[in-house]
Amino acid sequence: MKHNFLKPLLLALTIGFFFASCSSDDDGGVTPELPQGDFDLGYIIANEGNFGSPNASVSFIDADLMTVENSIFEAVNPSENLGDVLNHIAFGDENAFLVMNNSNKIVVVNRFSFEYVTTLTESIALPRYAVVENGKLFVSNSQSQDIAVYDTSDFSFITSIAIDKPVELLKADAGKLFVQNASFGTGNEITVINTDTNEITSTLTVDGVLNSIDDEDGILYALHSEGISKFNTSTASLIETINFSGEVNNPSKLNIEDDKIFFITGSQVYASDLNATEIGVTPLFDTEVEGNSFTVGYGFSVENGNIFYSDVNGFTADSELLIYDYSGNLVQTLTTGVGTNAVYFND
Amino acid sequence: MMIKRQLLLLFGLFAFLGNAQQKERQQLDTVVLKPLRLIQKSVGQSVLNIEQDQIRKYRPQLTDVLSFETPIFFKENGLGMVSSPSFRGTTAQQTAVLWNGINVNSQFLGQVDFNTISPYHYSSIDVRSGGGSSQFGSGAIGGTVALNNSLDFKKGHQFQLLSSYGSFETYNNAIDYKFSDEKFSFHLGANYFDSANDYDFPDQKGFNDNGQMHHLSVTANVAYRFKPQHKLSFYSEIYDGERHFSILEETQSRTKYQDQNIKSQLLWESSWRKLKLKSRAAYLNEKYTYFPELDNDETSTYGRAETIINKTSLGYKVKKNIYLEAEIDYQYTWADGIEIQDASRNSTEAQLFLKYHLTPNWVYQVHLNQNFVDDFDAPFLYNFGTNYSFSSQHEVRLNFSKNYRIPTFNDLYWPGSGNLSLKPETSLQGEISYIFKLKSFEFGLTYYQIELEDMIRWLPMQGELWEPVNTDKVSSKGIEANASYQFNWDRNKLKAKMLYAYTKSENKETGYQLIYVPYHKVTAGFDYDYKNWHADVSAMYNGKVYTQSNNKSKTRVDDYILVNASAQYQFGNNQMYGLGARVKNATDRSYQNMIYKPMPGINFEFFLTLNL
Repeated sequence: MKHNFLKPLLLALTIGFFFASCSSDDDGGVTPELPQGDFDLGYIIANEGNFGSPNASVSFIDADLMTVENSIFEAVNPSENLGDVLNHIAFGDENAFLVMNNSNKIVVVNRFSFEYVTTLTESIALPRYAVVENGKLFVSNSQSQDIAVYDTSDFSFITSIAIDKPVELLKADAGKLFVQNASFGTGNEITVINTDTNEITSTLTVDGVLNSIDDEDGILYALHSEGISKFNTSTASLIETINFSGEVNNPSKLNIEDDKIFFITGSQVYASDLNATEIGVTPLFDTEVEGNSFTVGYGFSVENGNIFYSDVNGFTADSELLIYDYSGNLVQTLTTGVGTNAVYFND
Repeated sequence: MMIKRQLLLLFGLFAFLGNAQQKERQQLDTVVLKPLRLIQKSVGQSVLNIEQDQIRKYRPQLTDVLSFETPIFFKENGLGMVSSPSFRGTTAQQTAVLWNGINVNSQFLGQVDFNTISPYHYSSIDVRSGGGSSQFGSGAIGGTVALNNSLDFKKGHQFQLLSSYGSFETYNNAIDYKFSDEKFSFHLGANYFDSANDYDFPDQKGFNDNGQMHHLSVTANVAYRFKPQHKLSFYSEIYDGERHFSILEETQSRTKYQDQNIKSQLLWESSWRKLKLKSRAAYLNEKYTYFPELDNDETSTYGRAETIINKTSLGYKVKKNIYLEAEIDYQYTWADGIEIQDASRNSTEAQLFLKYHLTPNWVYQVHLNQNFVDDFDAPFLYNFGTNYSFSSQHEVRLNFSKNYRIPTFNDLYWPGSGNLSLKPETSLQGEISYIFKLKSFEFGLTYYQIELEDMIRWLPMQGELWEPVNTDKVSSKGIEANASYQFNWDRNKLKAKMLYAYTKSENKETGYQLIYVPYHKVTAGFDYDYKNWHADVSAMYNGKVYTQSNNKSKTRVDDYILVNASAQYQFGNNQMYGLGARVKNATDRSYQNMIYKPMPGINFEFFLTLNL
């Protein structure tokens, strides 16, 4: 039940002026006061649902991890259906953007009340991820292999940026958008886009099969089959690559949090120090979740001092969300929706 | 409560007809002689027979026929879309489909999509519940569906046309031409079906968007008798169909799927004194093409599999009451496509069959099978069955068998998910039946049990990715009951039939009922003829099904009753013309057999027939 509101506050003070434009889920609250809505100061859970079925849902877990409320979108907006495959949620200052992959739409809700605001559909084709930066919403479209750009103030469509390569995770920092050009075990590039001009400025590469990216404190981290490469987000240049100390099979789901590197391989969870010279290959713990290689480790997030790992039960039933502390102790197990794929701390 | 009342209504109706029947009885219809190959090797089991006139009461997609005529449960991804059976609580891959004696389950999926078979040209369909792997190979666990074309002799020219138009812009046309003399028989048939399939969802907003479909099916069959005891036959069938995949939200991607299947076989049958030789060579070609973007062929993906089958059997009548048969089968399958590249498999099978009439009222059969297949150790299979008649009215049947299903090409080689370490699924199963016959009344009751190991289950993944695993142990138990009755008085003729299936199919580890397996299913059918008039009613009840493996009640699919009815008038010389109308889902029931896939409410069709 351990949680720490001071940590994000300290972080916020440390990086001070970055703060105004920082819009990722790593946000710290400047004034950790009263909740701004029913779903503030707690964890937002994305349950993607079954592919081909309109049963995507969102759950909310309160900050002390004691209670879970499922299907909050339907509860707040009874006349709306969320849709088919909630792949990702991006957060702006006021709104949350729910990326509905197989519905070809982005559902916009107030991030604190989850009240429905609008739906974005123009130039959205099997969207995967989204990020808010510089007053704009960027969405990666896997079918059209481009990035759709929207204005977050009036939700108007601005443009599409053609990439013509697989587009997956998006991260934004220092006026740049970083587009992961790798999915399903192939690809080793990251496209860099200027968020003012919406133009491609460069392409970064890693020496291995790229799996996932994350950013913190002006550094973009890229997890690949050989290790982790670090890039300076201001200059978009490689700082260094740190390798695994031994054999690791298919590392995935990179999370940088609290000066630590987290990732998984199947049911195993790994943690390394952010400044380590190599990445240890001894797991921090094993969730002992069983199943086939695709569903094990389907959802993994590190938020606010807690490690969240979902057991999606092969998508044939609701998910179990296993919550661990940084020492690997299981502190809570909660039942969420079908296909839980990520957890976001809302503040 | 509602369900019980509806069930009572069905039973009540049946009982009423039963009573009415006792007033008058007349002779049965002339029995038509037909090749009963399936029945001949089904000692200890029960076979349902569906004749062509019954088949043509339904949509020209096999799902519709079998939903109303058999205990098989189907889950349809919306009307006419991908359709998967569950027979006796088993998975879709555990129902074997035979086309004129050849197993035609997909090499990719292991199952038949029952909406890609146009059944109008088959003379009959036999459905046998229970194990049959020793006879028909992989997949015959829940049961076997046999599609038969029988070729008659000495019938001259025959021409048949059926044309219908119905709700949702549904057109259906079928023509059949047959010619036969002493030695030669020929059948050419074609069926074209086209539907906008854009029905409104009852009880909720929206309609079946992007659900259009069409198919063309052509069959050509020839037989030549050299002497009464030597016959050469050729069967062929081409199916070419396209279905769009319906969407629930306007913003969703519009996709479509095409199926192109070719089936052909050459069959030689010869008998010489006590010997009987049967040899066949078959060629099957299945191809699917998926279009993730409707008008962009470049992004389409496909898969194609070709199969060559050779089966030769030699039977010997040892004595008047003992028949022995040995069979060697060889099969080569090759598959190619975007996902699976150049995979192939050889399989050789040896079978031994013995049928022994111990006494006129006691018969048993033993069927043994050993398969040698690339990549696996196939288990030794057997089937033991016996029928014993206490009198002309009472009969008891027993059957015990070991069966299997081998992993398909998709199970093994699907990129990113195929699993090369899979083992075949195996089952041990048994059944006991009691049959009662009194004149034109027939009643059957069966209890069965299936113990299945190493069940391969494809679990849905992110996106369209699934992966097969060899994990579950499943125990399926159930009861099947059926009754039929037929009576004539004056110029009235009435046939009534009904069946009920209770299925408890549970995952042994969790104790939960398998998803999409209803506990209860009931079907009932009535056919009534008076002078030039014909009327029929077909009804079915599907019990609730769970859609999540933990049997969560919130996401279950509710039970429903469906009723179809039709009336038809025949006129002209020899009643060569027929005109009729049919109402489907007459009670306008809002129903679905797969979650989030609403089916149509009440709908109509008009049809005309021509028989020359």
